[in-house]
Amino acid sequence: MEDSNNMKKTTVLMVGAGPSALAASVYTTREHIETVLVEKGVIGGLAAITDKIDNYPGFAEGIAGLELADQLQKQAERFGAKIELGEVKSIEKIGEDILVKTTDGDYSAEAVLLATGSDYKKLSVPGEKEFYGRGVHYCATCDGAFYKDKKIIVVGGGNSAAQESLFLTRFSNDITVLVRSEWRASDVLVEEVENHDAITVEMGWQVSEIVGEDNKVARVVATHLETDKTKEFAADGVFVFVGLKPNTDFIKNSKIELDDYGFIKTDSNLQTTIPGVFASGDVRSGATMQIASAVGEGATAALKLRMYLENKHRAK
Amino acid sequence: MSKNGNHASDKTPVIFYSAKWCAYCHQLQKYLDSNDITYEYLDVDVEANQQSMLEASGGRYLIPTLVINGEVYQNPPGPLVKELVNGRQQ
Ligand SMILES: Cc1cc2nc3c(=O)[nH]c(=O)nc-3n(C[C@H](O)[C@H](O)[C@H](O)COP(=O)(O)OP(=O)(O)OC[C@H]3O[C@@H](n4cnc5c(N)ncnc54)[C@H](O)[C@@H]3O)c2cc1C
Repeated sequence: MEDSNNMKKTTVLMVGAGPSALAASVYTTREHIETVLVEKGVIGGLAAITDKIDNYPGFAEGIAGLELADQLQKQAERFGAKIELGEVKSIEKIGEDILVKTTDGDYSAEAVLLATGSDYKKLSVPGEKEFYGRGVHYCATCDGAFYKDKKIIVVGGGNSAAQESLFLTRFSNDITVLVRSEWRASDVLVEEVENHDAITVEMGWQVSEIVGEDNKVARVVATHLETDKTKEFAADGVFVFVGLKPNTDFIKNSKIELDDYGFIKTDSNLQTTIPGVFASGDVRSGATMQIASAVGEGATAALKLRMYLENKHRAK
Repeated sequence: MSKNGNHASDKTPVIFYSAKWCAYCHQLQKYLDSNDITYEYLDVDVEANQQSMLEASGGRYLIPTLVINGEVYQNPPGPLVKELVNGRQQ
């Protein structure tokens, strides 16, 4: 619905359409609560760009991320969830309602769910920005196939770095993983990576520069943290997986409280410091960064949000 | 003119470099199809297509890559594509 100022109205607006918001919207729309999701990237969030998900309950043989994202979207839309493409720029409580500004127009909502997840951190070294797409990448399932039989350097030591290195072995048998201090990935993944014939693991290296030739990546320069020795690693492609940062820039100037790392603080009802604004999934302070938990939190947030709306309407 | 976009007409100024395994490409393709935007679909798993994409993008390996009226856009939002082609295809 649109009012005379071109302000669109909805009962619930969800920011992001990753697993958490999609799950939440199944709950709200089944209860006939009008729900709009605004997504700036890919519907399904990080799950959509994960090759295979082995630990999401209900799929005995695992499920491709793209397939899970597609199913979540279809299920949400079956009950009437409306997914709009656009980026949410700010959120503000005005009187009883919440004003949400997006690149595709403004919304007035009675309640909001923030489920914006997180994004890849950058290395912030010379050459990284310049060679983005010309050898520097942040998503193996998106860009790995361009490096068939090429020399790949993976930077990082967490679950994503380990999982993505294993995925890249489909295309290349010359992969070097540079781990800065120690592994922060699960033992199962580390064992698989370390025993893989196509992967060499180099511990203790901190990347200081990405150097190119002919307008594309040629090598990675790194310094060993213990010996202080500098070494150049030849590379056609560099895949960076050095952690994730919460997508909360758009609420930095709002009254929503964030923790020291930028994640959204919530109470036990998953409500933020603005009444009527809830948060769930990877973006929430204390999140466990798993699809199953993001989906579970989405369901919880939807039920708490419904209670909030009921109480609000009862009080009128 | 084909709605699913696999056979673009002569008038269509959109080239869409894509691949089966690319989530962003799937989403953009769905958007283009649901907005009746036609395009020439080129799968970058075919070597010649990958080469022509790299020539167009100045060596940048990113998909979806679209060439709209001769201009290159890498992973553009659907609404922007719609805005860019609207005048030509309606
Ligand atoms: C490489 C990799 C492998 C993984 N493998 C597994 C696995 O095997 N099993 C598992 O359980 N988990 C895995 N995960 C973690 C899992 O993907 C996340 O826990 C899950 O996707 C979180 O869901 P979410 O909805 O909270 O956030 P996300 O999936 O991050 O979705 C958030 C969405 O919000 C959108 N958004 C952000 N800001 C805005 C804005 N301002 N306006 C509009 N939209 C916005 C984003 O574009 C995104 O689509 C993996 C993660 C990575 C990176």
